[in-house]
Amino acid sequence: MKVARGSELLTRKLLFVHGKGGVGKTLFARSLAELLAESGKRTLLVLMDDSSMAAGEQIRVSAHLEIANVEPISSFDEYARLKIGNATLVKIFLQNKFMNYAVQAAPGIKEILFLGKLWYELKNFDHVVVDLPASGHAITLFQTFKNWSELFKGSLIGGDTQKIRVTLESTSDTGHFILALPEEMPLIEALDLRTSLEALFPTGLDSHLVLNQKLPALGAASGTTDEGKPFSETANEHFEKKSSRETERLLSWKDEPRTTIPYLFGETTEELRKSFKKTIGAEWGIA
Amino acid sequence: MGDCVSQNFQAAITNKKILIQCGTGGVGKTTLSAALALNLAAQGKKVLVITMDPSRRLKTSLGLTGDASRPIKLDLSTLSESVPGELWAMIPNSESSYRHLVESLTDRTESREKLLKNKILRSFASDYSGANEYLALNELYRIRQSNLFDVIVLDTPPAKNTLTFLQGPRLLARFFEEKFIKLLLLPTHSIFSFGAKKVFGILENLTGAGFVHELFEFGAAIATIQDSFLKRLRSIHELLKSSEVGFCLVTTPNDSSIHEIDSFLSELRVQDFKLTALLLNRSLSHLKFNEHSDAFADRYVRRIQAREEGMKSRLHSRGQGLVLDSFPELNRDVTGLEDLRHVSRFFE
Repeated sequence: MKVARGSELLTRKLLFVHGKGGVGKTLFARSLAELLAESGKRTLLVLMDDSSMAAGEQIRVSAHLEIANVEPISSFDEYARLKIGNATLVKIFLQNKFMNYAVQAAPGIKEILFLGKLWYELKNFDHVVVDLPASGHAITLFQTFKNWSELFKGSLIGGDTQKIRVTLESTSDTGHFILALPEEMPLIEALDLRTSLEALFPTGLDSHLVLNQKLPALGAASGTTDEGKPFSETANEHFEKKSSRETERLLSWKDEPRTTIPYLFGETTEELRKSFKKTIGAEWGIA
Repeated sequence: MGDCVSQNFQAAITNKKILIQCGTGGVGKTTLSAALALNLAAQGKKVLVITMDPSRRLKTSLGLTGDASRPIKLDLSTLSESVPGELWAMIPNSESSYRHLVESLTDRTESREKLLKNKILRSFASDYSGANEYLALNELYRIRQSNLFDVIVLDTPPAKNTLTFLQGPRLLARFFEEKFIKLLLLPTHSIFSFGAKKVFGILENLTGAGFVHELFEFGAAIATIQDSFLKRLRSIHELLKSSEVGFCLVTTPNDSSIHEIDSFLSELRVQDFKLTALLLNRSLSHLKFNEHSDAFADRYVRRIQAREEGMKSRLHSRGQGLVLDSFPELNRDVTGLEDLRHVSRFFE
């Protein structure tokens, strides 16, 4: 279901952030996590295989905010230790080369472990915000989880998988933010993504569209934006055309509920994040 | 218009039969790949562009609305300026790519059946990062062997970072080389070490008999093709190392971080691949703006131009004679062949 206001999704504990590469997912996820933490909610921001952190690392960055870099092998270690119990057995199991490869390669296990980790942390935090990889991979994540959970029935992973499924399918527990740029291709892909997600969760899925990097209105919307020379000579000309095209495009999307974030200037990531937080904070009424 | 070192680019690609476009998602790789292919066709060549993830609009403007898993010749007659060569396009899907791979790895029908049906392998082929890239490369290799085209332009699958395409196949190879595959092939009643028996017992407890069964099926299925798979991987690697292949990194002023570019360059070196050029897409250095104005357009362009300058000077200071070609951003979406032709001129 399309949620009318982004703030409505903030009642959910588990928040997924979707989008293609370059739309500002990471900035949005981090900003949202910081805002929630600053409003007093214990928040965990989850990254998947992030190169700037060590594998499996989880750090506290402020009073109410932790960041976890979830990675398959260390997740598997953690999980195995939790489930096997017997220290000797755990050692034999984890040191076995085969196991290492099975975890890295076997489809299903990685995805289940990732989603399992999220689900597991829900009891420790008020919110778990997940910065997902680019859209195609996110769909694969949920698809693979669905495909393989059948196969794991009757096992320890199978039992846990069921519990994870219940949470994912509960619209009061889980929400999805879909980020897009106001350009044609990203918008259509965002809609496609939502359609795919809704197909994966036929019992219901709550999502909200976030449009990022919208240009200020610089030119009147005209119907002839696709003709004429493709390259402009001045900055003004270039942006007037871009902006009027954008305005026209968004007019045709007027029935689509969304939160719009303007193009923000920021020389550093911190500056940008500050602007971002100010904007979303104001839009959604988060302290 | 723009700040180009195009002459160097054409010189750099003179003897190339394969051009591989790498870069993260959202930089315009697909459009640029199609434009590059069109540029080469305009020089009279017979060119194939292999693209993994084209937008609907691009597909429509190229006339590729149906199944394009086999190369399709594009109709260039609508262009205002006639093009002497030929432009073909192909959009592999993982289903057909996987089938082609299986066909190339074994002649035996029974083995092919097993491979095509195996759950783990099929999931591998569509989900596992490394597999997507490997399948694309296998398609490239196949078509190169057929010798049907003068040049092939490969638009790589969109990825989180630029290294995914280069590293994926290597990781896959490691997986296939490991002795654990042999472990999977030992019949369960054979002499297993105590440790190994225990390990499988634990795995079964954790994942269920169903999954462990699939794992053994997987082992049996790939036993037949392990050798030919590795041989194939080596051949592909040799091809990529050869001087007829060039790699281009596509980036934008917004997206480019010198760190990413450096990582990309060092990964190329590690694998002995040749860098042809850095393609800076969505450049705004062709735009005139007011230095003293704080209006949005001026501010934006000033910022982007500064980033571009910074990037260029840092690259030049690396003293490797890197070829950098800039492509100005269109003031609209690419709406058809004519627009692609506009972009393709910047390769000249």
